[in-house]
Amino acid sequence: MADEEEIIWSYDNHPYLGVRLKTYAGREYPSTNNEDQVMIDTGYSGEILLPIKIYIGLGFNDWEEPIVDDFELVDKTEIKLKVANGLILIPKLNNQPFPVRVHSASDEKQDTEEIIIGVKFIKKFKLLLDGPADKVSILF
Amino acid sequence: MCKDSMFGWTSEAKLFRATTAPPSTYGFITPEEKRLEVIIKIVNEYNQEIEDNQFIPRRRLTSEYDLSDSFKVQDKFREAEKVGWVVYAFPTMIEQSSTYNTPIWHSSPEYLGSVILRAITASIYEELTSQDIDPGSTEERNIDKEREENLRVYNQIKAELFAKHTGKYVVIAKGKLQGVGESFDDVKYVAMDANHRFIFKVEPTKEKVRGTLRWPMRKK
Repeated sequence: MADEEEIIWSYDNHPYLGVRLKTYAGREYPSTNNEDQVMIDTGYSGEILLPIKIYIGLGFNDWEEPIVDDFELVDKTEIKLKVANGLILIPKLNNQPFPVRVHSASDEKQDTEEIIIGVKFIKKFKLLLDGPADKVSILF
Repeated sequence: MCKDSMFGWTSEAKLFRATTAPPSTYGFITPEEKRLEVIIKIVNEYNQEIEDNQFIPRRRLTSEYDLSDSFKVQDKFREAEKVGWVVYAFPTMIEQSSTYNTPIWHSSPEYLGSVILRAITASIYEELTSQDIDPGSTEERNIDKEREENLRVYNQIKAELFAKHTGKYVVIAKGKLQGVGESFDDVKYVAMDANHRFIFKVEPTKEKVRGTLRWPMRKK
């Protein structure tokens, strides 16, 4: 770890990473701030899950795949999530976007209230969660 | 209809929800822009009529607008940061030169990401609200409708796709197969004027993704 550099996000309640989303049409989120603070959820096995409003607002419906993914909730019920292809970048790390499978609920009743990133996304990075210091780091 | 204590608006129509995306610079017109063009046309035609009949010069609306950007504002009363939105207003009746064609910032959830036509006359209000161009749902309805149609077509031609185009990228939009290409880049901008597209690689052996999603999803 001594030779590794780290970028840090301090948090209050939930650990998060600062990311920026893009579509292949060039639409970006957030449009003003450099990054959005996106909650890390190790209970979600996908890459990134968007609220329907952001999914539609950014036009991910133009980049969808026909086959939905099946996800199991904690009560063992199943929900189907729409899948679209997009781009994500971590501005603090570099400005290089990489492809990501974006999920969104099909049904408003099962919508998420905020953007969450899951296990498949953090698998790409060496992540350090420092609970006592309330900070998350990416080591590189 | 409402009256704004600061600007004295007498009426308003909430037309549709804006996206958080910046104005179009992508070489195609977004559904929001299409709808805004309709609104501008109606208002300008009305203004022309007033000019012709009453010889009163009227301001013309243009499509120079900014539907973009949530931004953080400091709430002085609560000492907290919250998200505000740029909302665009087109005053047409009240002489408010300082507010003509300027974005008005709201932090009220009532105005979240909305495009609002303010201080409009009753006849324009009625014309606009009688059309199916009001509150954002139109776009979402169109998306759902086109998605359904695209899905129907996908299921119909699936066997043919796997037989003829395995390994290639395809686009299904507007209820038909729009393009086939060797790479994603070959087809990525095909049929961008559709409300919904399927764009994917034809992979018959692709495994169905099954995952877990433990706690943030809510059940209403």
